[in-house]
Amino acid sequence: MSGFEIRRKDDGCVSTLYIKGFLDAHTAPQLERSLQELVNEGRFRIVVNFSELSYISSAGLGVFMGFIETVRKNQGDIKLSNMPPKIYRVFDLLGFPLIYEIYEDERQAQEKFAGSGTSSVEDGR
Amino acid sequence: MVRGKSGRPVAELGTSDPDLDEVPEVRPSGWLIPAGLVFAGLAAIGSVGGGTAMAGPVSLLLLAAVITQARGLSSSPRLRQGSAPEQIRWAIAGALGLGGTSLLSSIFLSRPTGFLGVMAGLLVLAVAGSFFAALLWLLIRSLAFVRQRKSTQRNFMILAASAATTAVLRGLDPSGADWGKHLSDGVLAITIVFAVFNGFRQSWVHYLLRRQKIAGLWASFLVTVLCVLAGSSSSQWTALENSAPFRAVVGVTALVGAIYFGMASGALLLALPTARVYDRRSKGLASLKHLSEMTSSLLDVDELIRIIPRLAAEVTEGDAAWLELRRNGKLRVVSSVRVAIEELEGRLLDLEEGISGWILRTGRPVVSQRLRRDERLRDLRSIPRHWQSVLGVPVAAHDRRLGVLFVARYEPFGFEPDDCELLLAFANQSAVALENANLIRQSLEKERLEEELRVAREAQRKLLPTGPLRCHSAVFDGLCITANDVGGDYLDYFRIDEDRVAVVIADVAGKGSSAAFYMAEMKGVMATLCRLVQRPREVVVRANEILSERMDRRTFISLIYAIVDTKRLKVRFARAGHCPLAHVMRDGTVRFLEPKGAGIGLVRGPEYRELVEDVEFSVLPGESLFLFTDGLTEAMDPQGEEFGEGRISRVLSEFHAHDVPTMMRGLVEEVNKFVGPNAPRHDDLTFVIVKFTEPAASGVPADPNSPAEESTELVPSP
Repeated sequence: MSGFEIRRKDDGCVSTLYIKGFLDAHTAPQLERSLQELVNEGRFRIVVNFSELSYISSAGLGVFMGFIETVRKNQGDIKLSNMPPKIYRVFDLLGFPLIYEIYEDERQAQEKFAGSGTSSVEDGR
Repeated sequence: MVRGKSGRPVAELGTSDPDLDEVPEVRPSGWLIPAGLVFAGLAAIGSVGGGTAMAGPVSLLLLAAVITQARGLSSSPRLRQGSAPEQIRWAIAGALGLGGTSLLSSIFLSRPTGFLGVMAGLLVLAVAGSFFAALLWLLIRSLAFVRQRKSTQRNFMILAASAATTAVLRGLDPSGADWGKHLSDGVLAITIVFAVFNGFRQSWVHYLLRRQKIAGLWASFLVTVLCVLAGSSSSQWTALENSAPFRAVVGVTALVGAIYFGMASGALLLALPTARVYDRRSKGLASLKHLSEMTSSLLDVDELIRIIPRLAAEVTEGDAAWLELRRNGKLRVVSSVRVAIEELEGRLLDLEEGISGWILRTGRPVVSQRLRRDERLRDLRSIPRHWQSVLGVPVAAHDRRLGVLFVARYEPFGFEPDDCELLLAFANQSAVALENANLIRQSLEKERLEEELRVAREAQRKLLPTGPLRCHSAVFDGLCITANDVGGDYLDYFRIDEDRVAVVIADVAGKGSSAAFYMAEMKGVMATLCRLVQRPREVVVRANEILSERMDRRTFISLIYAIVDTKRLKVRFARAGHCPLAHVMRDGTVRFLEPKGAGIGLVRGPEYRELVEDVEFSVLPGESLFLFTDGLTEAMDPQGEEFGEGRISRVLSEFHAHDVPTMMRGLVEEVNKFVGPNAPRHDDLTFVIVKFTEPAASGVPADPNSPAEESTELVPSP
């Protein structure tokens, strides 16, 4: 099967994860580790870019559910972006758009964070 | 004689005879010893009665007594097949008996006594003397025959024959006339020479442990002394005019015994310095053998772990030993002998950095003879023990280093080069044993897991409806083909009352027994809720409340809950994040209904209520409903394309006019054709069909208007 890769980019207080390939029960722990790392570092403003993801299974969806509460409790969020239509359909069926912010482009998501960032005390820009 | 001289001692390199003569012919021997005693008695009587004239017959009788008794004794398995230490013990008994008899006789016979006194003395001498002589001969034979060679039998037979001849000649002619003296001296010389030849046959010494060698040295020394004593005291029997035959038998036996056991003492003395090495070798071999026996019989890893340090300490005579194994990337002390694990763990701040880590990394052993001065083993010094020497070896099998094995001794320079090699060999074997046991454990675990899955699958199968359901003019049927494991799909349909049937289709995220467990719980929850609550939306909201509480945070369930009123032909359903419901019209067109909804478990709080709604629509006879899971839409062809809703729609149109079994068969065939003949199924294939048939020849309530009244088809945009 095709593999799975994660790339991370930190930009100010926002971290973006680029995920690529097959996200299923076998590769979900990889994503879980990456998210756990961010949480451990106290980086709760997370954007996940799906542009290169070709498949996501229920285990993959579960990873986001496992973190969203912790992240939101810490005034952060997981925003999703650049979903190919097939992937969006999976999220959509399950009702994710009702709970998660999903953007066409990662820039929108990052800007959303930056916008809310000004209201927070610790970081000016 | 010439032949006798050329008979070389055991040093000659004869090929060892494979069929050792230790195959005793089965013979009734009970009468041999009594017969020998009778011969001895006759000899005594003959000697007293006949005087010197009877010397010849008396000598022969005595010889016969010794030979028959020796043969009688040799049939005793304890004497013949006993271990060397046992036989040495018997030899002491024999020599003690011979010496005792000889001394006792010399007391009786050294001064003039009455006829009865002489008679009693003679009888004792004859009976006991011949018996103990026989015993001694027999033991010399069996000791000399350990690791028998070609020449062994011959040399011993020559010795026995010459000794017998000497005894008879001496008995006949004690004073020694000229011709007789030369002859008997010659034969005596042959006896001595062959006694020495046989005296080189001391292979039994090698098989003794060091402790036994020391004991054996004392014992054979004692036997030698007793033999000398017996021989010399026999010359004191002056009161008896015809004591020569007796003196000859005792004397020759004592001579041969003294030579053999004297040489045995020498062999034992020479073997003592190397005894320790021999001991360790044999102990090491025994431990390795023990361990390899264990590996074949011991399936339990824990038991194996427990026994390894024990055997290691035994092999190297260590005062303490312990085993450290890799566990989750760290080394842990897993078992120890004569030192508590807690004592050892005191230093284990980070084992990887200490000497254990070094051994594990390099795969090389470490020997330290002065722990106090050895910087490499610094971390071991913190252990509150006064060990001076420490030996550590890697436990490795096929290049996989599992851990480290340590042995420690209190004395400095406690380990020899041999010990290191021995422990390395032992550690290698331990590693193989551990690996094997681990493999066995894993396969058992797998078997157990498979059994668990089988049970779960069985349980899951029982949760599904057993067959189609008919309610008024509607037929409900479903299918659930699981992928290889326990699936996460679930379907159910059951009557709520006279007219209404509840339909559930669900997909639990994840597979395996936990999915089966959630499924069972869901079935119970749904069966209860459908009677308490009317609206599908309420049922789903309540189900979320109940189920999400106990679900893993990363798990969710998508489902559709529908209530089909088969009398009024109305359908109301809620969709909790599940695939849409397909409504197949009479003309074959298919519409997918997808009201707003989120999977169960996605949101745990009361805000879930806002995320789900239900819709109601009417159906007509001839129409059908089709509920499915993502296993159908995501079924993939070899090129990686998904089956998708488009194909579902096409297949449904194609088969919509047929009865339910035909529709189901058609669908499965289409999917199989799409996926390909030898592609493994990745997901379950689950669906429910509800078909509203035409009431037989009755007037159909015509309702040409749009059947859907409230259906909202959501096409969310990001």
